[in-house]
Amino acid sequence: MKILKPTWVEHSGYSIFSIDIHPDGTRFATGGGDNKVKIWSIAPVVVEEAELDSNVPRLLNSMESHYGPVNCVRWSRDGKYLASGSDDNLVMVWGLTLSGGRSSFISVGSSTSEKIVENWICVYTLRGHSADISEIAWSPDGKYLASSSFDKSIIIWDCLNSFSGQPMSVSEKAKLIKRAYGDAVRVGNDGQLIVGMMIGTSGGGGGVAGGSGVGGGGGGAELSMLAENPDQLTMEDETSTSSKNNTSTTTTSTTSASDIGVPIQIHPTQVVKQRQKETIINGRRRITPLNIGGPASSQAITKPSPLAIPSHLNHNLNGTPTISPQSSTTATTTDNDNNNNNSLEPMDITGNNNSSSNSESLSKSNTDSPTTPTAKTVHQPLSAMLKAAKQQQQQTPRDSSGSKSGSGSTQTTPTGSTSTGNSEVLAKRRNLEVQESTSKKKTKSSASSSSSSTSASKDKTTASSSASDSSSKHQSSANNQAGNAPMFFNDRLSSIQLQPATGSNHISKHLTTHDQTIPRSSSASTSDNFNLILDINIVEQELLESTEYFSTIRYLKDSILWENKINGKVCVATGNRHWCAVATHDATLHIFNYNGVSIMSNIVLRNQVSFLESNNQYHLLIITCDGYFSVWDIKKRKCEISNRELPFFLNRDKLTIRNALVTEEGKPIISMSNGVSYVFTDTVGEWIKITDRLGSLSEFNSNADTTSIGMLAKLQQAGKPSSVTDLMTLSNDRASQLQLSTTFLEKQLFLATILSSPSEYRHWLFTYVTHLTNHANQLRLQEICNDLLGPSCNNNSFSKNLFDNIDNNSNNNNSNKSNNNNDNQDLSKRELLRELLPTIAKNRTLQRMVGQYRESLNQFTSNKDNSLDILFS
Amino acid sequence: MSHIKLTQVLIHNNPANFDTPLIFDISFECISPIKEELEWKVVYVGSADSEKNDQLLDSILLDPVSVGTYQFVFEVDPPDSSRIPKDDLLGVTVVFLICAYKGRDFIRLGYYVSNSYCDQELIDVGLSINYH
Repeated sequence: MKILKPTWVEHSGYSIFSIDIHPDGTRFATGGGDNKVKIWSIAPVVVEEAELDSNVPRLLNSMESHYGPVNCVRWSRDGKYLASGSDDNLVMVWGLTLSGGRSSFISVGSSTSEKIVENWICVYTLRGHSADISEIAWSPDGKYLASSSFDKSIIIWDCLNSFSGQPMSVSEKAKLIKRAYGDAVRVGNDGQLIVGMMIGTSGGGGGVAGGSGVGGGGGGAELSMLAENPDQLTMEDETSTSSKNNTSTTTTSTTSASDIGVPIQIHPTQVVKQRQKETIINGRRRITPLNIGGPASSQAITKPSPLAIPSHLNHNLNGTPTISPQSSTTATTTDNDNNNNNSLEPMDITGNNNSSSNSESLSKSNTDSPTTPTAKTVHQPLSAMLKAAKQQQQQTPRDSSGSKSGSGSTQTTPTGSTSTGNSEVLAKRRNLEVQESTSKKKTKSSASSSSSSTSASKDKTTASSSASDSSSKHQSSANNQAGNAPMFFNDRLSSIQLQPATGSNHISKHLTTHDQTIPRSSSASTSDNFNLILDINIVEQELLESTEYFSTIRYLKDSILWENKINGKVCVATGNRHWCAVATHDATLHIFNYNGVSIMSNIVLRNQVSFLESNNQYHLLIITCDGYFSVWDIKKRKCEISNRELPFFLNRDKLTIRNALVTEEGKPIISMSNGVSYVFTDTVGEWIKITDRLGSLSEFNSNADTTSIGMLAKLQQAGKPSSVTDLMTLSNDRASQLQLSTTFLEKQLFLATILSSPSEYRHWLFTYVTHLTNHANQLRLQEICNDLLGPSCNNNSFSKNLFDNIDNNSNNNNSNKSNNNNDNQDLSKRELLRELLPTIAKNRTLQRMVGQYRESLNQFTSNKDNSLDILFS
Repeated sequence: MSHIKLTQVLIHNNPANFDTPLIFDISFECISPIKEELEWKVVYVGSADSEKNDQLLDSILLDPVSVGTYQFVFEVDPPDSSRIPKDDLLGVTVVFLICAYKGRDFIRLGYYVSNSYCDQELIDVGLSINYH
């Protein structure tokens, strides 16, 4: 016996809990305490030369989707699938795809070191257990997968009809056999399921349950199992079953609830074997065959449908534990294939990788997210997409001022890969368009005019017509907008779905209410850190004529707060702690408040929704696929900005919107894939570009800003042009550089007012004044001072300077607020002036001017006229 | 399309003595219900020359089945060696597993059967020995 101890099989120093060799002997899988499932090649183990050869890959893949240590990994008999069970209560089934690229969810950290040789992706995530999974076993014919768990139950999953499983809970005191005793679950030679467990420590014998209905039959194979514990398990001879056998065959499509297994008592010493029934009638031998499975299905693994084990199992196990499966309606076939060649499957949405609400992402430079030119190319290499998707996930969400952070995983889950979960994978598997669209996101219908049939025309009408032309495509792109990243694992108890629910998809959105940064947020206190999750489950039901979708929307905090069901397939969702909004793929919007009351329902928009964003207050931003956006005030049930167009883009078909958000004041901001951001101001009714190309040359444009928490800074940082050096050549001239800076500063001021960011405004104002002072630009200084000074009389029609839009700001707050507010929201113009004057005075030549203004100030403020004084209200 | 699809047939005792029963473990699936019974037959081809040497080893009837996967074990008597021409006793021949519906065969599964002596010497000696 050779002892082979490959030292390079490791799980980052964690324990390795399980190992299984592939049936064809070429590879083996291990599951370890680092939450990973790793697939290794056997060649370096057994062949010495291969071990030394550095070209021979050792690690074929590392799957990091689990949230907890992986306790068990098992290959199916045909070697096509690998099942893994872990402490996160999930069993994941992995399949090999032929497409290249990495498997999903490689965390950022390890991504560089390991080359992925084989692409294993999660084809199913089986949820049902409420505690750690201890063991998994496949049936030899690949029809069933059994999993045992520390929640004292086992679940048998039906592979054919989709993975739905019926939990069977062993007697209350049963504990599960630890590995030392061999598999807790094993499937016998003839397909009969054997579950062995150790009941208590005080003996009591093991329990054996005959699971499936495949009979031993004739002189067929014996049940060989758990021979390790002969004392604990006694097997009795076949108790031939009888009439019960037949009843199972008659149950077809309607399995009543009573049939579903209720926790069964397993008597320790019974083994059930089934026999077919033979009779002789009329001199002819007749046999009644055993019904061993559900409706014929030759697909490997399809979508979940319930597998019901009749309650016969309850009684002494004399009854035939036949499986009477429901005849599920045909599973949607597209979900099967594991490769990229999926045609547009717009409907499947999974809850992640939505960068749309990642306002935080703006703060990181996203220059490396790929921008595929047209959204037409639906089939993307998985790698690119996954990489893109990866990027979205990586962005650790930081609450920028006001905007709600969508991607919840603020909790630094170790694997940035977060979510994982079936649905995410399902997304990747089925909806490559989703992934493709995540980073170069939302192929805005107009933006993409990917129907290059209409050559990149800037005409808006053609853009909208192209929208309708390629409607299906846009539909997919719209619909593919997935909810936000992290799948927050709720401990959902195994619910047995009775309806033939195929295609259930899942969106989960984490609505954090934790406002960390800006002190100006008056609503949420910093201790407010409860986690709200908006959880949407989409169920596809096949009716007679058509297929309908129903979505169940849940609001979860630590438990389900409320649950609502709507008709339609939800594409996007958003919300905060006051309300939430969901949009379905038929452009219908539903808004619910915190308690689940439907505030506004069945609002049909002009087109499908591609972005749905909310701030922490009451504003909702809707961007439809044809390039129109609206901002609504939910509290007032009013539309603030109605159906306005997006800004003009020069190269529309190359651009997509990467992010959209709405500020606390209700101003929409969009950030494009080329890094440019725009904010819409409804005073003028147009978009303002935040990132300034030339301005980046100015010496004031630096990342080390003190006001880095400001909104403006955040947005501008995102738009750093990569080829600054090119621009530098433009500005050699000192004078022009000066002018550039001045202009830049003025622009910054303007933007700061638009964005209502007073601290930034202040910063830029000071910078501006200092700059002007340093260059003795008296003219401009005078202008500024005049503005700040204001009129000497109490005149309401004061509308010359650019601060007016702030005065008339349609904010909730009282405009007469004084400066005593802790949050420092209000800036008084005259106070500013007063503060600025000393700065200006540093320049001797301006002293006279300074003196004049000081005098005027004193005069004016002695009037005690505050009403026009407020800059930000 | 066919309502009944054969998914698996296992032969339990293989190889075996000539005079032991043949055991077929049959699994089939039904994708849409059938109304009449199914007849399963096992036919041993005695001689390739003519069909009159075919022996129907056994036949069985199955009640009409509904949608589902079914399995049963079919044990048939061994062929009668006296009805087989001597020349064809040893060597390769065929056994059929046939399923019929309403009297018409729709599944015909054939297996090659190789008959030979157990004893090595007898094999060496050849075919001239009379088989009793």
